[in-house]
Amino acid sequence: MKRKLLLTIVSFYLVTQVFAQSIKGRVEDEKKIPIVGATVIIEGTKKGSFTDAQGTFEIKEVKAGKYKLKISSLGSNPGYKEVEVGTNGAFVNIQLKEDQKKLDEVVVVGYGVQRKREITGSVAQISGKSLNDMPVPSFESALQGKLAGVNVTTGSGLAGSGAVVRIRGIASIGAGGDPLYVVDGIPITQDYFLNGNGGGMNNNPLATINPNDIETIDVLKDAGASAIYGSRGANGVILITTKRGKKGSKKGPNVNFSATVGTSQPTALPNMLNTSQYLQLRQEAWENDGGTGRVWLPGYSSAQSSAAAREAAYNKASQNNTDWVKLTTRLGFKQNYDLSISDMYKKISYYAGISYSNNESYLVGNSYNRLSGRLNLDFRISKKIKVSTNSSIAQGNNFRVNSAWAGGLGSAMSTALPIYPVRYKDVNGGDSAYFRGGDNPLIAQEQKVWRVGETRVINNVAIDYNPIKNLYFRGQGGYDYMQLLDDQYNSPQLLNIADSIGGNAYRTGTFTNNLNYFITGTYNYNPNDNNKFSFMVGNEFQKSTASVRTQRTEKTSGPFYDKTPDSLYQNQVSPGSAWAFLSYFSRVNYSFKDKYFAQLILRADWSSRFGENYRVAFMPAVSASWVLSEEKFLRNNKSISFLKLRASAGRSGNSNINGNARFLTYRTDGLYNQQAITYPTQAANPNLRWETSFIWDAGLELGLFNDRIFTTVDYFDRRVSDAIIENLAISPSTGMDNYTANVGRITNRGLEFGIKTRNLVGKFRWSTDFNITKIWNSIDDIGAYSQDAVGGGTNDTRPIIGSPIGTNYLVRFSHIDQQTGLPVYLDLNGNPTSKWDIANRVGAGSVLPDASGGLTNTFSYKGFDLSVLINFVIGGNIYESSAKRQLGVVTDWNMRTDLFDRWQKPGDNAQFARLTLNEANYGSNTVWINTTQFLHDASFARLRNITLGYNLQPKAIKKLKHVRSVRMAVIATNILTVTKYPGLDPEIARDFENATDRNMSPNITYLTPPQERTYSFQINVGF
Amino acid sequence: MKHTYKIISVLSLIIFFSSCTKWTEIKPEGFLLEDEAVKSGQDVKRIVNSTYDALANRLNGNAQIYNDLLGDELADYNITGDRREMYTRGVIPFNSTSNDNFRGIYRCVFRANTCLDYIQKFNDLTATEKSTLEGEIKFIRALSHFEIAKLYAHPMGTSPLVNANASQSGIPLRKTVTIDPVLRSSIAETYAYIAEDLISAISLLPENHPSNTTKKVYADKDAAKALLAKVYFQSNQYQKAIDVLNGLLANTKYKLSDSLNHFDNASFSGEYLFQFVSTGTGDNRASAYTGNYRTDNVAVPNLQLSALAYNFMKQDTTDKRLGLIKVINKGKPEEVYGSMKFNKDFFDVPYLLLTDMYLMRAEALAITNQNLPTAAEDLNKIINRAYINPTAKILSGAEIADVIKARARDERRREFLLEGDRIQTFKRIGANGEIQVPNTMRNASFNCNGLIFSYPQTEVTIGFAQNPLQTCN
Repeated sequence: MKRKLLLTIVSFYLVTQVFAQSIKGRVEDEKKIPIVGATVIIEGTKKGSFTDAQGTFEIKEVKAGKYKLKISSLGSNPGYKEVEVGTNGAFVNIQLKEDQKKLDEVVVVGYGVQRKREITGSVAQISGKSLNDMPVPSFESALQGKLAGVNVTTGSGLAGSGAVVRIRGIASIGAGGDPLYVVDGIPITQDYFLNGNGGGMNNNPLATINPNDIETIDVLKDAGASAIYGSRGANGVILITTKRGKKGSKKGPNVNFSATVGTSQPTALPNMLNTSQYLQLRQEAWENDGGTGRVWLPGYSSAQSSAAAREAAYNKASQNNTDWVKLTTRLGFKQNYDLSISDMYKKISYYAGISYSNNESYLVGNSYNRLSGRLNLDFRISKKIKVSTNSSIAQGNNFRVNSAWAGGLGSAMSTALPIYPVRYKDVNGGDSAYFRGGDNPLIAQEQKVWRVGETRVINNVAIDYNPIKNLYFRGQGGYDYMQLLDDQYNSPQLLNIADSIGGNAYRTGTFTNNLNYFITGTYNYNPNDNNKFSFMVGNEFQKSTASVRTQRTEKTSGPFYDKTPDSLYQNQVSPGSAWAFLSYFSRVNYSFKDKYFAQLILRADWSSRFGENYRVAFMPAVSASWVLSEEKFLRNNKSISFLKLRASAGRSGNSNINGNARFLTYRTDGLYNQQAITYPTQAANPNLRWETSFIWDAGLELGLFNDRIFTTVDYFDRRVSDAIIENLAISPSTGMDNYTANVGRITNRGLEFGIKTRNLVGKFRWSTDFNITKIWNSIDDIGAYSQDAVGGGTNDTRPIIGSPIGTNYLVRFSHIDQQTGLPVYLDLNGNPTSKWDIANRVGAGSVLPDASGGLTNTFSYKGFDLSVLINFVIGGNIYESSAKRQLGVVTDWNMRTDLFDRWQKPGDNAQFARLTLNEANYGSNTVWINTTQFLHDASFARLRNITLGYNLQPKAIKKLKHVRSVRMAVIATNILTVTKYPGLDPEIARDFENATDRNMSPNITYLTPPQERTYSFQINVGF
Repeated sequence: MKHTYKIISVLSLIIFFSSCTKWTEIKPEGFLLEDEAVKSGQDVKRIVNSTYDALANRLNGNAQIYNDLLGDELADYNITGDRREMYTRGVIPFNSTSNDNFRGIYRCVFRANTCLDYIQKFNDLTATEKSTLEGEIKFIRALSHFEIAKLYAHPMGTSPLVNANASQSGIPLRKTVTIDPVLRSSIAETYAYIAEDLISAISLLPENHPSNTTKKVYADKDAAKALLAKVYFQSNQYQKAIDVLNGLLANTKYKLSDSLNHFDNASFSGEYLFQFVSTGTGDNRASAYTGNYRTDNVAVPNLQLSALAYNFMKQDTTDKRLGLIKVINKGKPEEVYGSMKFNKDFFDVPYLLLTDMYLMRAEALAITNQNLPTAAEDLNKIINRAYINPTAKILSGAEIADVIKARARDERRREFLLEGDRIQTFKRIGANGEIQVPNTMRNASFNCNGLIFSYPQTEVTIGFAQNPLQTCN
């Protein structure tokens, strides 16, 4: 903001006197790529200019003489150039070096910006440019491995799937653990459960955000930074700033076009059995159990069938050999086109962009397309007033397919057996009706139409007013509208009814209106050169309502968007959510001699989410930093070029709780005996409130050898009290569906380390960026509730006192008895037992990694650049929840070839037990035998991204008319993964039921489609 | 500096005057709050109506099927997943089907208890209306607790085999609305409380519920009596059951149907003392029955009658109820059996019916060895209807008690095929000390813990006695 004000002032003062000469020149970076929008000022004067799209500038009306030019640009160190202006003027070529100190770069900190030097909290920044290098299902996935303390678990291979982003770990059980996302000052709608969990996928509210629109992302990590967001900041804050108008060239505005095309494949495919293997293993199980003759087959015969009937069924079944995995997957095609135009004039600047992308996943029928547009405007109305607007509109269409437990590839990995055909054969051997004697995922794949259409509009208007020197006001109003239309059509074929009856169609519409405004006033008080104060006070209000309408029609021929139904069989308002926050906040900054900095943040939040006994949350934080390298004793040190110490302590909150949770609520939908009904759904909780985190952080930033090596280390400690336990936690005999209460305590501590080195400089350049974060996490208290009462859902993770959030709570598997071939478990005392008993469950693993991070190496030579990103996870566990059915008791599921290593005769030392059809042989009364046999080490290192780019050199560019820059790149993602995990993909974000599930059960896979591997070609042209 | 103070105070003023904490008082979306939802006695009536609604959604065949999965009337065909755990008598605490049923039934208790707080509050209700509502609430609460007790506790009886851990062998009794965990009561306390609710309901409820016209949709005095009889009967309190039944069956206004299918609503309505009502295909409160058992619109039904049950019925070919069984693929290796009782798009599910009352009294009299002619007379009413040649079957009244008892149980088994009755009878008479442990139903002795479901794991708070897992197949 300050920079923009400065620009405004500079342009205003551009003098109008007439001189004959001018200084012309060109500014470029180390790669000889023109720098656009750099400020060039004659030192000691107010004369200056901006560089255009070619990187050229002209300062007119300059008297002859010697001058010193100061050139500054975001992301670069300021450059200086002596220039002598003769009668013909002067032409200079200026090369700016990549920013090394970056101390004067501005960082968005919430309700304003600060210079990096001044920052007292822990804030990380990443440019939008580095997000666009990689095709990802949603922008947040591109943050992976790039920032210390920011752990991203990329979503599954489903198109548009969302990642799980955790800033410095997780310290919530039942309240949402996601960071707060703020786009241009609006805390946006970010509810993953607005549309439930249909078809094995949660709706990703971030999928409609166009990564090409993003200028920067700033991440607020500690209380010193996040407390400004008060009761909503404790999980960290991700501030997204969209692009604004930049100065174009003489020929016209900046125009950029980029196109990316690529392919999608799964990173791994399941190794399911084919028919002969399946029949062989099933037969073996049958004979192991004492069966004679042919084994009975699901869909063909039953255990009670006669030997003759079983034999006939066996022969019939062996004629089929369907590869369901092959039938449900494909090579997906991806394309993305982006066009933007921007310019800056004296009074107005603009950025306009339009994007279209269509990303097919490798699942047949699954794709996500998005058409989005953006217009960001700035009007400099007067010296004192600036008005800015941001407008974006996006339409995303997710063509959904069943996945995981709901069908599709999930069926291919479970109950779609190779002995099932897709269709029956008619007398001539041709295809006839669908096979329905067992799971046939192809019916839904071909007969179900499912589209989730999302319309997203994020708009705001802001007024900056600078009435007198050092006093700034900003008022901003924002509106974020999200409309989700989940349309499903089940054809008569799917419903297995006559075509003449027609199919049925469903529509669930979710309409979210999210409004906010804030007003801030900032006064900079600088009594002398040594002491500087900045006072900011502000007020913010935000209100969001999500209403849901469910409609159903029958006897129709298409989804609602294709065919307006003649009549509705159901049309009702369903539960939605509504919440509001009213906040007052203040931030006071003090700096002494530009090397000692201190900051105080205070924020008070009133929220509709808080029970009547706890209406206001008060969050204070203090932080300070000391730039030691500015001290005399270090100033001229040859090794240490920069050294800063930071510390912060404060309170921050998490209010990611259901807005309805505090109320005694009633519903009135439905009839009984054709009479109206009214019914209560839950009890009130007047004590419901935010989770309080007390967070402290100590950090060190060190630059060595002229910042060739730059490292940041932070230690953080977060203690959470009043941790929320949500949904289903209370005894089911209460008869209530939901109850949410503050009962827990959690500790989350960690160490994060980041280092950037410029290993080689010169013509051939090589830089390395490495970060790693280690987290210690433990639950200290869950009130009077038992582990199981608090839950963890179907994923067998439980909150265990003294263990991390997301502890795998399982019966321990010991070994396969070599004599009997049966599994041996351990009881609570560690003694072997043949009985599987849930009373013997223990905290056996943790879904949270011990450490995670990323390593990026960037090489460049002339116009070429190569960037290689490896992300890694050390420690933690994956629970392969579906393996107990694929590799356990032989049931109606298909199995995996892993079973070739099974016990077959006494003395065999095998990985898997003697096959059986009867769970009792495994000491169990259920086939859902969860044990540590399927708990695996989650460590992996993954070659996440390789981008090889070429920038057309200036000489070549000159030959092209109107073209300013050309860049081409080939991009590959998820090329190689090194892991001991025997399943599909070691990075797992499955579908979740609710926030508790999302917090406690990443790294649990249940038929979850693996991530995609992509190969793309990208071209960027600047005009 | 003065200047600074001024600026800061002006700044603060501008910003702080602009809003108000009342803005955060917003209503939940898609829900009503208490002051909107419960404004009058009419609203209380709607809540009571919702308790019937919620119960109808559990007893739509689902709860009955769960009982039958434990018994021996279903074939081992197409029973997978959660249902398989029921069938193999190994319902673990994470069985979502049984857990949904548990929560669903307690939901009725929650709603009923919610109403109790409101009834006296509204003056637009007459004293009679208030007492009717209170009676209905207690009836619903008793019915719900009873259904839970049947699935989650061993029956009450004199057999020492079911009385281990007596202090927590019953169920959690939810008497008021509270979020606090409630431990299990003893089985005696459980049945005493259920009976107490019903006795109170009998005194509160009218002879005829004003909203019942042709159907017995809402509980009245007789419904409460009938349920009380059933509760006493199931808990082996036969004398008490007889006393209630004597009152109910003397000069009864109910009449035995000529039909043999309890779900033949038109013919059977004279027998119904209480029923769950369906009003159309979109409002089918028998959906689990129709979805699982229908034999008229599928090649084979989802759930099939066991050969054992079919062979039992077939033993007496003069039993007209045999005609309700459909033999599919007759004579082929893939011969299977189904029922034709449920072959309609929608129908009412009877919960209390006259046939049951007669069969209960007959058996109870025989067990207590008293008034055997009445027992025989009760039984003959059913026999007369069920057999091609009833005169060959009817009892003279001179038989000894054991003969009448055996006949009563035989008729009960034939009448209530696939209606969730069989396993409860087995458990009841076991608890009465009549079955010795080696005698089993599909290899389970009556006191096998596998015949009661595990409580949902989230119910098991500190001090709560979970049912031990024990499979018996």
